[in-house]
Order: sequence, then structure tokens, then C-alpha cells
Amino acid sequence: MDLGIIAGAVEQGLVYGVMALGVYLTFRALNFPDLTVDGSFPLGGAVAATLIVGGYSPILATVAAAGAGILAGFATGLLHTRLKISGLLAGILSMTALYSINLRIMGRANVPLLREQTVLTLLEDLGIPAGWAPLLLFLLVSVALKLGLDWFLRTEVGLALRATGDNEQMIRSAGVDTDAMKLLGLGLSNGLVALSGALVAQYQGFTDIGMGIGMIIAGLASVIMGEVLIRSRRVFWATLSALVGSLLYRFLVFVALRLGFAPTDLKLVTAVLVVVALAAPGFQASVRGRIGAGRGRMKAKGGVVGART
Amino acid sequence: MLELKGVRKVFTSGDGSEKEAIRRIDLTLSAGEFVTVIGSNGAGKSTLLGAIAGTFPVDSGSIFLDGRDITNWPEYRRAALIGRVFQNPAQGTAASMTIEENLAMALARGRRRGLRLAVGERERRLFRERLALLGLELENRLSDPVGLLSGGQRQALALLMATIAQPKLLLLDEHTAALDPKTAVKIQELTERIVADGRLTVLMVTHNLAQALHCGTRTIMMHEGEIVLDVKGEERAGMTVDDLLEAFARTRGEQLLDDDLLLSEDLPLVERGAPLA
Repeated sequence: MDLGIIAGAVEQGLVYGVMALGVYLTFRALNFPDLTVDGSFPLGGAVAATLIVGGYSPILATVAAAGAGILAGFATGLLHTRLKISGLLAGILSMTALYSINLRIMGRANVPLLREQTVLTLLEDLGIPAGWAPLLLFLLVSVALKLGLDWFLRTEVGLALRATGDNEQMIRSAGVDTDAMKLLGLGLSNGLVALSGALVAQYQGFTDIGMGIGMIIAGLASVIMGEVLIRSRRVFWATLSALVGSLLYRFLVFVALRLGFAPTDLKLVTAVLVVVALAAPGFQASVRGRIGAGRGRMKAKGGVVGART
Repeated sequence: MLELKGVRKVFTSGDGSEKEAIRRIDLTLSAGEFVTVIGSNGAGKSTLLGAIAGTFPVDSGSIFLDGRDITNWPEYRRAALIGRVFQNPAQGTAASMTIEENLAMALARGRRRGLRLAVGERERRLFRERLALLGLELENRLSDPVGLLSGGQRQALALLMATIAQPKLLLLDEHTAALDPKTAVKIQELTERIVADGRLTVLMVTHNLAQALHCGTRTIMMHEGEIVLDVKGEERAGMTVDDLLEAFARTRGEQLLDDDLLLSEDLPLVERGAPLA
């Protein structure tokens, strides 16, 4: 395996890592299984590519893509909090609707970005060698967003958001509108996902209507594999583990391709990977140990707690 | 301070049948009153607390707190004025978050939350000081996840969280019932100290009749969704558990079965007839 392939895996791991940060925010911090991701990821690509082709600055196009992702997250959040649709179904509804919306934005199923200005060509114009631009940009962006997320999750609002995922009753009785927290979390998460989609589109040189299929499972695989490597649930380590998991996942994808799997087999490989990770006894125990740290523990202590409800 | 006028709540169960959990409740609490609430299972005690906290909307009547009509306020908005401790210690704290983070969330009660780091040195000092008062040595474990604490420690923390921002009203819903007897006594002592120090207005549901008479300034008894007994002052000071049972039987005009009210499993030790004032 030559260095170029490894560099490619690292670049992809970092750029998709931004998406994994978003998945961590909903699945773990907010405890909300949000499937909007499969729609908001290509939404980011669609918005960015369309604006770039339309002559707008790639930076503006990328920021607009993140904004579109935030709106998509709000849509799912409103379906869930206002119309009381279950979280899973709300995400599926958004994802399905976004397929049509993305096609409308793009006007066709594939928009090439070859010979267009992208955030990467902007870096090259600054004198950074073409081979290094993606690595540098994605490293900067993913680490900056990770640190930003760490900071946010330690602010007053961030604590309220995490508590919404941990114990809704508790944080409501401390005066927090948990519906607003879910909206905020879903918005931020899908903003990150769409930003990742916008960067991926510029990196690979095109955006495609199908580029979001299975994205949520890839994100979940990253988050879960990261948790196996880094056990601490403290925010700093948890967000780091999402990034590390994404790197590991992309590396495994390269290995799978080298082993002779066709690119079209990768979704199956990913799904199997997630199933194995979830079913592995050691992993299950570690998840129970962490998530059940409070409730399970006290039940074990003589079953006093929760005996009366 | 707190005023309920004709508050009524009907629950509809899955098969469509209706149960009137509380009916036309009128209740006024003045500032600083510590009211204990007793009654058999299904009497409407927890529904009463839920109606005040805003866990569900009431079907009729109105609720005033601190001069404001809060009848139509959502739960999270009422929480600016109301601190609450639940029966299950797991319900009042966030297990995956640290002690200082839990306290910081409680400290922000009634304030607008912003993008300020929630825990700074100033907060830590305050938390250490308050935790030290609990006597559980939690003041040196600020960054431990709450999930590592015992049930009693978590309930003590929940109590501190409910009171740290000086609520207008404190609701305690059998908050010692899920604890072992020794821990329950300890939490009860803590409760009384915190309430006295903060001069809080309190509504406390308990299964323990002796405790209901022993602590607080006023006792109300509920039965089938109504308040059937309301005693305070000298009348209450001279009361025994037997008097309570008799009063209950008299009001309802029916003989009360001891086990209906008394022999719930968390209360095997009431000394019948002993003076409790």
C-alpha cells in the first residue's frame, strides 16, 4: 500500500469526520436517532455545487450549504416536536423529501465541478501545493469544528442540550424547553453534515444525487468504532473519538477495496461492520457499563430504586 | 404564594375509561408554609404535584404562583419558580454528566441560558460550599459523573439542585420513599435543614404519617381526588397518627382499613398512638 492511498484515506477520514461529528451530536449527545443525514449530506453537495457553477464564491457556497443543512435539521425537529412524529420517522420523512429537493436544486442527477473554483483551488491559488491542499484544509476544518463543538457543549446551552439527551424530565424541571434543544441540536448536526457534503463534493469534483445513500450508517460506524478505541465519554474525548473513528472507517474502506470488494459492495461491508460492532459482547458490555452507569447501577443495589413508580 | 382554584384533572386510559384523579381542588399556601400531603394510593397526591409543576395541563380551574397565573404555562417555564425532587433519584439528575455540570444546570433555573461556559471557578466555589453542607464528601468529586453516585447521594444532589436557585415553591414527591431507611432519614434531615435555611414554601407528599405530622407546619389528607383534612397550628401539634386515621374515617364516614393507608412497604415502623408533636 503506497503513501498516496494512505493520504487519501486520511483526507477522506477528516472530511467525512465533520459528518461524524454531526452524527455524534444527535445520536450520542442528544440521544436522537436522526436519519435526516442521508438527505442533508447530498443537500450540502447540491447547494454548494449549484452555487459554484452559478459563479458564486466557493466559500459562500460552502457556508450556504451548511445553512441549508441547518434548515433541514429544523424541518426534522419541527416534525418531531410540533407534530409529535417519532424521531426515526421524522428523519426518514425529511430524508425522502430532500431527495426531490436536492434534484430540484441540482436540476439533474449529477453536477460536475471540474475546472470550477473550489475551496481547494482557492488554497492552491495561495501557493499551497495541490497535493497538500485537501489534507491541510480538512485537518484545519475538522479540528476547528471539533474544538468548537467541545466548547459549545460546555456552555449553559450546551449542557442543557446534553441533559435533554440524558434526562428530559430533569432538565425540563430545571427550566429548559427541551423541544427547543432538540431543534437546536438537529439544526447544528445537519449543518455539520451538509458542510461535510459540500466539502466532499468539491474534493471529489462533482456532486451526485446518490452520494448520501447509507451516509448515516457510515457516520454511525465511525462513531461506534471511535468509541471502541477511545473509552472516555467526556466531551473532549467523545468528539475526538468520532474523528478517529471516521479515519479508521475510511482506512477500512480502502482495505476492503484492496481486498477486491467492488465499490458497490461497500454499503454491505459497512452495514456488516456496524452489526458486528453492535453485537460484539465486549462492546455491548462496555456500552451498558457507560450508558447504564446510573440507572442500572442502582437497580443492582437491591432493586429499591424504581420499585414504586 | 400558591393558590389553586377548582383544579380538576381527568386521565383517560387506553381503553377509553376516564378517571378523575383530582376534582375541584382549592388550596392556598402562604409564603414559608411547609405542607405535608398524605393519602392512600390513587388519592391524587402525585397528580396534585404534577398539576402544579405543569407536567400535564389541567382540565379546569386555575393555578396562581407568586401572584402570577401559571395555569397555561408549560412545565419548563414554571420551573423558573418551582424546584422539584422526584421519588426516583435517577429522575432528578443527569447520570452521564458530572456533579458540577448538574449543579450548573440547576443554578441557571429561571435565568436565560447563554453561550457562557457553564462551570467556572466562581461556580465551583459555590458548589463546593453547598455540597460540603450535605456532609457526603461530594465537594471533592465535582468532576465525577453523577452515574457513579449511590441512590442516596444522587437524591441529596437532586435536593440541592432543586433548591440552589431559591425557588418560590419546592415540590417533594415521596422523595425518600425509594431509599433505604437510614438514607431516607438522612435525606429527610437535609430537607428540613435546607427548607429552614432558605425559608422555602414546600409541598411534600409522603406515605409516612408520623413524618407528615412531625415535619412541616401544616398537613393535608387527600382521598379520591379531594382534600378531606387540612390541619395546622395547635390542632395539628396535638395530633397523633391515630387521630389522623380517625379524622380520616370520620370525614369519609367510612371505616378505614389500616393497610389501605398505613402498611405500604416503606412504612412498617409507625408507632401507633405515640405523640408525634
